[in-house]
Amino acid sequence: MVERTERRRVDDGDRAPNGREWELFVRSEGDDPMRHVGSVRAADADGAYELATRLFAWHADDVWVCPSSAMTRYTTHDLAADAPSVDPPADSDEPRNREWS
Amino acid sequence: MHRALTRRPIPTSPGTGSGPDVISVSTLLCEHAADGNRLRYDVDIGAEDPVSEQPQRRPVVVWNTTNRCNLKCVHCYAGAESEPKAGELTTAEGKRLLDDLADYGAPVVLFSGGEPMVREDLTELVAYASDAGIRPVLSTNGTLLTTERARELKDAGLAYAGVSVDGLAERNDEFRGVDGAFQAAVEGIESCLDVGLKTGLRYTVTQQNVDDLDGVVDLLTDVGLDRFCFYHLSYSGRGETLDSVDLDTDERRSVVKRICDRTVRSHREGDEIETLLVGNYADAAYIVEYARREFGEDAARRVYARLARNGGDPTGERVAAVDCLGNVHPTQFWRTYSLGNVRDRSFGDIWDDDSNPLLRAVRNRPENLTGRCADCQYRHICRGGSRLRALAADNGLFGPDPQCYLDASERHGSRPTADAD
Repeated sequence: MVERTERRRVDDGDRAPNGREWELFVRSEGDDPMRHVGSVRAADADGAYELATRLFAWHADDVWVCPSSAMTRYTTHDLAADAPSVDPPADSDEPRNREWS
Repeated sequence: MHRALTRRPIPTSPGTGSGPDVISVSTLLCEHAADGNRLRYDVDIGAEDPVSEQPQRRPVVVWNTTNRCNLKCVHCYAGAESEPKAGELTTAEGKRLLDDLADYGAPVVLFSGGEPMVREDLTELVAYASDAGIRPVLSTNGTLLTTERARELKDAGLAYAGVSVDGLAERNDEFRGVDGAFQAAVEGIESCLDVGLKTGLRYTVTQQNVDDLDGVVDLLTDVGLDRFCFYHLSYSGRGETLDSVDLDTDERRSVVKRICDRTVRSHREGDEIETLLVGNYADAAYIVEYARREFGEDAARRVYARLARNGGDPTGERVAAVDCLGNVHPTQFWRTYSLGNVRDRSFGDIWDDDSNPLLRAVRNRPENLTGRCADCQYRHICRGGSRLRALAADNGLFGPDPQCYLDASERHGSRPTADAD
């Protein structure tokens, strides 16, 4: 059986009640993947990096930051039920939803 | 020994529960109000038993429903403004969030802001939370609490309203940026009392208003209030730049002692006010020391044992916050860091995601604490206090909270826990 996954597009801009929000990614070792570890609020990338290092320097080697406003999230979570629905691809060929046998 | 301490045996078996997140001076020192709700949190939610025998497994969730406020408080941790932020959770989204929280088992939702009463759907959301089995409580500046609205909220299931006042009229209004705010807040408290809605004072103590503290308690006692919650200043939002008006160590010790003294005195006189301290877990240690000084070693051990059940500062564990745009924070004060957003992931999935190294570390604090906290005898009932203030003071994520006011002899003195029964 193949489930058709219905996602909604959450594109809510900056996502910070005050200031700017920055998505935060860290890598603890060179051969680890980048891991999303939440977001920080800061005026610019350097400010976000500085805050990130205070929170994660003990853990992380590499730090990436990205403006939240540049992130568009496609989600199956139903809180965003009022957000625009995104049609599944016509062939619904999404491996993670396919029952492999 | 003071009679209040002997009125009822104090359960002393350690490790069976999760002591207070608000620290109840009256309960710990006077055995006040030991029945009723047994939930713990770092925010004042009006529970009748601020010292729990039961562990709290799910967080109290502070929902900052809007960034809009009708006042302009200089110390606002949310940095609230006169207009709502675009993209605030709608009524429908708010209800789905409440379903989400109910599914996860959140015991309490604290409606906060901004000023939550500027949301026209507040009563609807309170009723929805109540129907979903979550205890709805409110943090408000009180200025919009007419008798009619207080009654509506009570009928909708609101369990408690904490009303912020930060000084007598002149100082409060200066602090809050609007003339008449003090009188309106007092009338709001009276409205709650009139309709039988449980209510209490929230007072953030700073150098600027510490002299008004007794006057405010006197005035509100005359109005009929009997619950007083004193907050230490949080370094976030507009409070971030206010460390210059924060109490220094001597002032903090002095005001906490005054609050303890007043509480004990009022109970001796048969006037059983509830007093709570919020936001600085050095208070837990101080109250143990106070009990030892005033009532003796056995009393200190009993107080410690009760505090040990919870384990101090609840950041990232027993309290969580969702801001007006759906971002999840480890406490309502930690606005500059977000774990995720409830619009794209359920609250429970965000909160349970132990792959987040910061969340893991914050939940495992006593082992990670550095500096003078590392060998402090009270680190297990304080957990290092506020991580946010430690960061603000450049002490590092696991460094000491600059608001800790314990002296070296208190940090390294006799161990009241070692042979606590």
